[in-house]
Amino acid sequence: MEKYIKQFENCLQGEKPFCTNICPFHVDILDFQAKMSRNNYNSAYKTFRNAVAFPDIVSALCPEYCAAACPRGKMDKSVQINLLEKTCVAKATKKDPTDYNLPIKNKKVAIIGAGISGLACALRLSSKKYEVTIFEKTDRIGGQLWDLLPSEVFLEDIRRQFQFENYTLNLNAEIKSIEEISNQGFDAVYVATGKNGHDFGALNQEKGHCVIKNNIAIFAGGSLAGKDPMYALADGLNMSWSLEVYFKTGKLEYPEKWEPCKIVEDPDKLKKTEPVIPTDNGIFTDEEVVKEANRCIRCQCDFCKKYFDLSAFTNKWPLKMRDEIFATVTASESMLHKSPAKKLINSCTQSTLFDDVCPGGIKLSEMIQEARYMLHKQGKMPGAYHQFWLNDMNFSNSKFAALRKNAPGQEESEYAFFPGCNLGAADPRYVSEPYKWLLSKNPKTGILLRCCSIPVQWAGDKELHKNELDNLVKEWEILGKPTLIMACPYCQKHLTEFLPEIKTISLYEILDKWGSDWDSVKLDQVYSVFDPCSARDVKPVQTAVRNLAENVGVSLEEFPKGDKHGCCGFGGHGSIANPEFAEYVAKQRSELNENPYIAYCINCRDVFLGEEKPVLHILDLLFDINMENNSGLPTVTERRVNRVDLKETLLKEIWGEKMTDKPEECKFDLIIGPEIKEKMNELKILEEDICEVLEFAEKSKRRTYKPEKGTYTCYREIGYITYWLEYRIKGEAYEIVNVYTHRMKIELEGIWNGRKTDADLR
Amino acid sequence: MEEKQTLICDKCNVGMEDKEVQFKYLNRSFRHKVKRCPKCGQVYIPEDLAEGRMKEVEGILEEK
Repeated sequence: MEKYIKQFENCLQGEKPFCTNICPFHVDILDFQAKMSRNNYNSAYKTFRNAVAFPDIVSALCPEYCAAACPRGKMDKSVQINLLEKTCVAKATKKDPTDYNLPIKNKKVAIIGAGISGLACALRLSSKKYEVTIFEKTDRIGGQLWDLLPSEVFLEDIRRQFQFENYTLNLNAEIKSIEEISNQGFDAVYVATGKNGHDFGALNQEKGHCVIKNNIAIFAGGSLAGKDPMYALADGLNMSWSLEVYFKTGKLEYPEKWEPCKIVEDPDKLKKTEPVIPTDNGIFTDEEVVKEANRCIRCQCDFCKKYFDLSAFTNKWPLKMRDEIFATVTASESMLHKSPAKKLINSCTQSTLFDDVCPGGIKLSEMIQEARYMLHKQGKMPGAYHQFWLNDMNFSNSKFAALRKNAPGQEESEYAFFPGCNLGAADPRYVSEPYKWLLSKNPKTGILLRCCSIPVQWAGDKELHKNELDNLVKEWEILGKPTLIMACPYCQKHLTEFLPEIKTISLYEILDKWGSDWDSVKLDQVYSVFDPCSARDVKPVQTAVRNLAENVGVSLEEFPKGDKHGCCGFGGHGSIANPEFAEYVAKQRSELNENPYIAYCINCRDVFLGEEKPVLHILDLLFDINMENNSGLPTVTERRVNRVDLKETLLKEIWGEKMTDKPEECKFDLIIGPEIKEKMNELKILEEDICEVLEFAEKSKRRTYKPEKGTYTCYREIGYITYWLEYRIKGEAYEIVNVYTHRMKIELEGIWNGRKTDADLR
Repeated sequence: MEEKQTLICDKCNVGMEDKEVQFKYLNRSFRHKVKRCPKCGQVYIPEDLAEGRMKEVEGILEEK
């Protein structure tokens, strides 16, 4: 976990935009533009003044350093920030500074030079109530401003900004040696004597333009240090910070060196927009301000919002997620200990798209997987989040659904088809048809029908994950270590990562390579291939699927961003922990374009079918499976039945064998209407669960009766979930009237009035 | 409303009454009054409680 926490040192959230970074004053452009785009000039003026100290002077003199840094400059024209500033200064009506009532500080500062740099420093320090004295060798303030601006402009600005501050101004007072200052009890000096002025030995010292002499800290800056007027002004402001640091810590800290902006430009944000030409005597009208301010694309590093669905959905930046995740996985027994990210950690789709694009190299999906392992280890994982999937995996690996066989008459397999557990669950033909085809092409193709074990990884159970992988390896070895032909890109990715010794190849590459005689299909529409996140950047598979689709005569169109679109919503098994988020992701992915999709991961297909997005599996096209009447999604119970049917069909049709192991049939004659069936499916309740609850109620007689309705209600806790059932007895049959569940446990029911009443609760 | 119906414990054949029940979720325990058999202590939780307040509390505890 520490490794991932460390990666966040590179997080660029809050990194200054290009323009702010290059600006000598680091004006908060994001804030300024937001206010300008609302025509809120007074508020924008405050933002501007807070950064530059003298807004009229700066807006008049700034040569717009930011223009060179603006990414828009490369496309049309940089955002005209200086014009916006000029407009802001002209249109603001409340320009007086705030008169802060602060306690007087017990430090005396001398400022040598009443030019723009010295004045800026004096303004900042006097507003913080330091005792400031300015020594100016001439008879007027302003220094080089007299050569640059009409005096009424800068003198008025200086007057306005200083109006509430007390400071001493000594004109015609040339300081020739530092002793003149030290004798007067000053604690520090800012030397801003202008170009070729006296530096009192402060220039180019070890820590910058600063030194301690005669027990006085001397800082130098402005034109004296070779700066142009704007940088000279900024120097004055920065030096007030250095002086404060010195007063508080006794250390000399010269303002840090400039570093280039690290934000990575996002080309998608930039759309050509012509610059606005001001029509109101050189400044913008209100409408023009809005237009120009909105030409600014507000450069920020926000790849996470764009490529990390969970960040967009929860409106949380990864830094905040990091803090919540860290708090959650910090081991603690205390009841008061907060673990706020349990749901967040289990919502993630585990699509590593963001990990691949984050300019800071933050592997957030990996971090979340690590957090799942830790939650499980610490016993903090909400069991209900993964119970259904783990039971589903166990069923797929049980004798009722799992199958490991060499091809008929073969001792071992050169290849083995590994369809994954969900393909046959969706429709047994998705497995039986391709397998027959594979056998016709290579008779030494066996089959390994089981789960790849990814559900346990997502549930965070490292130990069980290892056991499952070991079991898979054993099965593979028994088959003679064949190359596995993978139908599910997720299974393939999973095995490649955890079992590199097993050679795998995608079914779709094999279909493309071994087959050529595909029957054409008649489809009028243009389709788009939806690459699952497990096949992102896996070009051979992507190409094979497109070849196959085109071979059967389908016209294809790519998505605008190719395969850079994230998960369909199935990944990470987050739909139980956070159904709203899974639904959000599914909807986002269904709307990549208007075309119907072709999927080659059955989970993606199922998700899109659930969203009523027209979608075909590539196997539909090749083997004519669900081309006409797609019967829709099977329920959770039907999926299990399909798995059993698949095994039975394969055994019968390929090996001529009879299936002996079949799941026990429910001993009750159940009547379940379509509405209840739908509800059960939504709550992921199996008919098997219903039978278990009923059996328990009948045996223990623990049930309640509603005479008016004639119904019984009973419950049973199965794993982490409590299942409730309301039913009516109709002759020999049981009509299910209602089902519902909760995750809380009912405690101590067996202890009643201080004694144990029933030993048979579980 | 479900609660207004007569509710009888099928085992003891007595009417269910509002009694305290202890619940536990994610290492936190709490009590709430629900229908219970005064004789054997059997609990009944209606759907609107399970889908309403209980679900809400579960959600809160999962993010706490």
